[in-house]
Amino acid sequence: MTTGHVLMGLLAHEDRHGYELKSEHDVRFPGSRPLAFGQVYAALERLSRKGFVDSTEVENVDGPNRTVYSLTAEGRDELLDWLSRTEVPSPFLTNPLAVKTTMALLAADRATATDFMDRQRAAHLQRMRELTKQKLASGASLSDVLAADFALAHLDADVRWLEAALERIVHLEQEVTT
Amino acid sequence: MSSPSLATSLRLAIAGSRSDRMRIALTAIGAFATTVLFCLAASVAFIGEASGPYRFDVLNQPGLRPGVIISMLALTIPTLVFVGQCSRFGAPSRDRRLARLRMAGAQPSEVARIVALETGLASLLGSLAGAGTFFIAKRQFSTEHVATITTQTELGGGGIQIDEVTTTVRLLPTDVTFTAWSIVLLVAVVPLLATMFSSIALRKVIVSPFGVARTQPTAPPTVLPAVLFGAGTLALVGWSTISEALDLHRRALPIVVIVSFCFFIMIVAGLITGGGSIAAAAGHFIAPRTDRPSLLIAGRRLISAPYTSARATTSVLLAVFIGSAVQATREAFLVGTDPTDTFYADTFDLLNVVLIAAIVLSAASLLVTTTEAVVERRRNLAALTAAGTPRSTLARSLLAETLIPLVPSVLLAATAGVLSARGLFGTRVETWDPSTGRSTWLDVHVPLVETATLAVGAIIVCAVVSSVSFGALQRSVDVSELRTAA
Amino acid sequence: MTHPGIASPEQSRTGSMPRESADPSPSGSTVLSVRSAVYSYGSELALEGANVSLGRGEILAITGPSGSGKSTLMLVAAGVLKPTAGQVTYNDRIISNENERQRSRLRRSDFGILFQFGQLVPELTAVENVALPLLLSGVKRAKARAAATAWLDRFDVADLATSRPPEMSGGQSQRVAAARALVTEPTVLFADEPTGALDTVSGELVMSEIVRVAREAGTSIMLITHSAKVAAYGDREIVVRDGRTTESMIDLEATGTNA
Ligand SMILES: Nc1ncnc2c1ncn2[C@@H]1O[C@H](COP(=O)(O)OP(=O)(O)O)[C@@H](O)[C@H]1O
Ligand SMILES: [Mg+2]
Repeated sequence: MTTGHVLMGLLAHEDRHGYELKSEHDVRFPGSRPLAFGQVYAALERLSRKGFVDSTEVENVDGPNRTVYSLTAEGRDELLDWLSRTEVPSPFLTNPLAVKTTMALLAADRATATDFMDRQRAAHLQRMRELTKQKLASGASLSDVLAADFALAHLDADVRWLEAALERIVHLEQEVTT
Repeated sequence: MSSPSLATSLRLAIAGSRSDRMRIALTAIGAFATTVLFCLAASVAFIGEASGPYRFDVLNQPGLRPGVIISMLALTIPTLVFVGQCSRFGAPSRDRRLARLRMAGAQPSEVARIVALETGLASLLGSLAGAGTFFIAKRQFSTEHVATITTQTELGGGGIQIDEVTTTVRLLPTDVTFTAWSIVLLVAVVPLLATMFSSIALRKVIVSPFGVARTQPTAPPTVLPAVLFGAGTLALVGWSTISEALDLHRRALPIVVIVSFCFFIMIVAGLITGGGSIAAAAGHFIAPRTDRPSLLIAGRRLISAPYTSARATTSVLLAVFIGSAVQATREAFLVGTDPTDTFYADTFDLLNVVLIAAIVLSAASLLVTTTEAVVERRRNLAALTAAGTPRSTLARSLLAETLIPLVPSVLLAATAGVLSARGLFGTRVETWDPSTGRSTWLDVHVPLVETATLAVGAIIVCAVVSSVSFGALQRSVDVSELRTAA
Repeated sequence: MTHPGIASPEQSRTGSMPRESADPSPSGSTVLSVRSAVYSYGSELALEGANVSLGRGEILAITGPSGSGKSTLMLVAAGVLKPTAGQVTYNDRIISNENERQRSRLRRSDFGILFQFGQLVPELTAVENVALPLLLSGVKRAKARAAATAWLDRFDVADLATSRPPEMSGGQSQRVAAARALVTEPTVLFADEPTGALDTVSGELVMSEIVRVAREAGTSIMLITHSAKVAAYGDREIVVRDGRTTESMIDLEATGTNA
């Protein structure tokens, strides 16, 4: 995925100028880092060089002229091609939580490990409560809900992994003691 | 999976849980009673020139014997219906077993065969026991007694000479001989009929690999049962008119018996098919009106499964119908007879004993269905109890579900029984008074007390049985039903 | 963090008059408390000393692995089961000392219970199912039906009023069941895996409706679930392991998490 593809996606229905593209992106993806203007213009520059977008100068009465971008036929093809390709499931999840939990299990005693995991679970749940509240808030937009869903699903996966890890410790201890 | 061998089918047919065993036992008991009745009817049919005389005068008079045989056969109707229905009491464990068979690749026909085989085997056991008991009893009771009986001799000029003779008599036709083939036939007839009935009853049960579904016609027929019941009753009430119109009194006795028996069967068919309609109608009347949760639940259950409770009480209804007819017939036969002459009274008492047995047996089938209904919805009942529904409310709803359709049906059956017997045997009887030498007309009493006792007794027996199944409810309303996997 | 449309637990707690309670919970006045509860099914020990206190208007999640004793804890707390040892207090009543008759009446009047499935009477229509608890407490038919219809509407299933449970989807029947559990306006709602049989989206819809309605009415919820996602609807979590409860609480400062 590149920023270029995302911008082409935002241009699919409507022509926009650079600033509109940036704010549209930030509203659509509330969970991710806001785009910098430099990033937006650099990406648009690359896209127009490849012929994926066209730019037109628009007269602006009370200010500097603006460049409005529109998606070309080639750009649309590239966009559809990109959307049809699956994402590679990330093989190397270097999640600090997983690393720390594994270290706690290896380097500390059981009590320390379970204590860490219990507190970690509580911290996760606290975050999940906040996300749930955001989702339930009456003004929440679809983008808000989707972003919260995404975060919740990942946090839920963490919690389930923690639970399974705890179960495994118990099983392991039972095996050792019997 | 290849078609299961007979041995496999047999093993599958008899394997099962407590409720399976209960159903098998009830089937066997029903077959036992039916076979004994068939044997009794057969022994009356086998009475010949050389047999007798008997203490029961009806048996001594060839003209009355067809009536006796018909009554005996009529009594087998409730017991046969009972045996046939036993196979429909689908215990949940059997349903699961059958569904697993289908899951393992058995064809629906093979599953049906297993169920039919179970019914056949169970009733064969009952039949063998019944015939065995009958023949042992026949030998045990074949001793002769000294008694005074009346004999009738037809005189030349149309008169009848009645003599009192003291002679040795038998209580019952224990002196008739059964041929070997007739014994085989008597043992085989009930299992064959039961297997046939159970196949018919199971046609409405669909065994899929995922479970057993009972197809329920949503709207039971209302016109057909009413027409059958009404026409049959009216025909028998107006019997004298009909027999005059058709010139029946000049015809041979068998024709008269057959025609009247047809009307009788119409009433029976009306009662069998109408039970569900009465249940549904009562439900439709009560459910939208009541403030009481117990009646609301009962009414709605009657609407959604009108045949479930009706099926269980069909044999009770038939017993009440036949019983009321017997009481009215008894009045017609006893009118004007010497009160010290107990021959007729004894005969009818014997019939009453059989009837009471039939009602009790029928009530046992009710126990099976109500218990099963409770077990089937145990999770729901447990959830209702957890939410604070008093158990007494649930118990009352169970009782209402049995009694609401039963009470009107019993009243109809009893009325039809009395009316048709009175129509058939007349409401006035001509008797000959030996002291005056003249004949007088006497009114036949309406057997109000007897019929009411029978009807109310049947209702009470059903109410008691239904309350017993509340015991199953107490056990079923167990919190373990509320547990969910996680 | 407050959000429009959702009363935070703090708000709803101060909104209702807290009654006197012998044992105030950490989060306001306590409605229900379970103290050192032990319960065994025959020889099978399912609870070995559970402690829970539920605040007024609070949504408390009870989590834990399968077979840890969550459902048993809920049934003990709701007065369905009598604890073998320990005490269950509701307001000022020690309900663990009361007989089944008294507890049954209490469950009918003050509690609502919601299970995973199978609680609706399959032969009754949705509106009759919801009206049932009202009829049980002597409300007349017409009034009970009107109230039931209003509750179906609150759960957005008013169009199903005359449908029967077998004709409904899982999500629809849980909404009807929730309406039935709340129609008596109970003080406490007990919910055992209320969305356990539903798919993600319908489960979320049902959960958010229940939470919304409960927050509006100030109803406390004891929410039994094995899923963290469902537990996140609660204000607080108690974890049950091997029949014992541990409060899942964190000191956010100490753990260095920035929430
Ligand atoms: N009716 C019962 N009879 C025997 N054991 C039971 C019964 N109900 C629950 N248990 C046992 O009690 C323990 C706790 O069960 P439960 O409360 O259902 O746990 P959870 O809801 O957390 O899965 C389990 O070990 C379970 O096997
Ligand atoms: Mg559970």
